[in-house]
Amino acid sequence: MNVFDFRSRRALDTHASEVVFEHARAAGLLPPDDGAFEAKLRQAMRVQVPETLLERVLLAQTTAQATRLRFRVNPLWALAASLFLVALGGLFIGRAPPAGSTNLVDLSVEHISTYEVDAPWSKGRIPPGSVRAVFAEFGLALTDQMAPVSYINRCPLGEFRTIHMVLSTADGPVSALYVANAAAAERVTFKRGDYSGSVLQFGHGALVLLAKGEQDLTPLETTLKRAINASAVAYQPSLTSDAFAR
Amino acid sequence: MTEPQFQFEALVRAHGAELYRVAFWLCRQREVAEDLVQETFLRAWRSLKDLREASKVKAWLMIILRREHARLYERKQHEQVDLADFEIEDMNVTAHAEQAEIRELRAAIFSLDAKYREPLAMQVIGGFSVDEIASALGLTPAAVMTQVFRAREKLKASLVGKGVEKSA
Repeated sequence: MNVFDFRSRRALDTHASEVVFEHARAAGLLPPDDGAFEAKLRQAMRVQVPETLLERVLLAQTTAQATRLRFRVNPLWALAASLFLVALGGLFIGRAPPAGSTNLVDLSVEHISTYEVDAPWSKGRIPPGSVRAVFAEFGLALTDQMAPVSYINRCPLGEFRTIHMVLSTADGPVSALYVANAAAAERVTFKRGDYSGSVLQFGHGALVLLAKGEQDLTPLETTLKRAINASAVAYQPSLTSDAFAR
Repeated sequence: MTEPQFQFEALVRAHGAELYRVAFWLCRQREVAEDLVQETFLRAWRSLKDLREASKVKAWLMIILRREHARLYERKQHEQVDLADFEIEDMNVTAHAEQAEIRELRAAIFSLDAKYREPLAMQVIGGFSVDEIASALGLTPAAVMTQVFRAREKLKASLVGKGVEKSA
C-alpha cells in the first residue's frame, strides 16, 4: 500500500479504517498521532443519548398508529358524512357554540383512556429543555419548577391542538392537557368513570387535569399556574399546524 | 405485537442512538435533535412498506432525517446548547486532562460550518462511506472527500496551541 492507496481507502471505506490504519502505521505512512486524533474525534462526537429517547419514539409511534386506526373510515361514508355536515352547517351557520368544559372533559377522558392508555405508565423523566421547547411552540413559557414530567406529546383532541403531559406526583401520575384556543369555565371539577379531574381556563386555552381515583388536584393546579406563564404569547397555529399535519 | 411493529421497534433500537448523535451535530441542540429523531422514525414508520432493501435502512433513515431537519428546523434559530453540560460518554476517558481535550475538540466541531460538520458526522458516527455520503448530500464523492479532509484539518488547526494535538 502506498500513500495514495491509503488516502483513498481511508476515505472510501470507513468500516475498514482500523485495519487500514494498522497497515498504514506499520508502513510509516501515518504521523504517530493520527490514530489518536481519530479516536478522540470519535469520542468527541459521541454525545450522550437521552435515556428516554427510544421509549419516547416508540410511544409516539404507538399513539400515532392508534389515532390513525381510530380515524380510518370508508371514503364513501366520509364523503356522505361531509355532504351531510355541509348541509347541516348551512342550516346552523353562525349558531355553533364554542366547545364547553363538558365537551373538553369527554374528549380528554376519551383521549386518555382510548389512545394514550400507556402514557401514565411512562418511566423516566423528560428533560426540562424538551418540555420547554414543546411549551414554546404553543406560546407558553416555563418559568418555574413543576412536578417531574414523564411523558409529553403534541396530540389532537377533536378539533383542538393540545400538549399532553403526564406529571409524576406523590399520589400517582396525573395527566395534564393544555388545550390551545379552547374556551372553558373558570374552574370545573368532574368525575367520569375511574377518572376524576378539573378543567380551568388557562391563558389562551384550557387546562384539563385527570387522575385515576380521587385526588386533590388543587395543589398541582397552583404549581402549574405558577410554573407556566400562559399569558405571555398567544397560540399561533402557523407554528404548530405543520407538526399536526404530519 | 404485529410484524411491522416488531420491525419498527428493532429499527428504533438499532439506529436510534446513532441517528440522535448525527441529528445533534446537524442542529446542535439537544431538544431539537430529540424531536428530529422522533419525527424521522414516525415518517419512517409510515413508509416502512416502501423499504425494499434492509441493507440500506441506515442511509434511508439518514435521508429522512436530513429532509425533516430542512423542513422543520433549518430556518429556525434555536438557543444553542452549553457544551459543558455534556457528559463524555466514553467509557475509557477517565483522566481529567483527557476529558478537557475532548471538550475542546467538541467545541471545535461545534463551530465548524455545516458543510464540514454534516459529512464528518455521517462518516465518524454513522460509518458511512464517501459514496453513501455523496449520495445523501447530493455531492460528488470528490467533494465529500475534500470536505471531510478539510474538516479534520480545521479541527487540528483549531486545537493547535490548546494542547490537544500535542498530547494526542
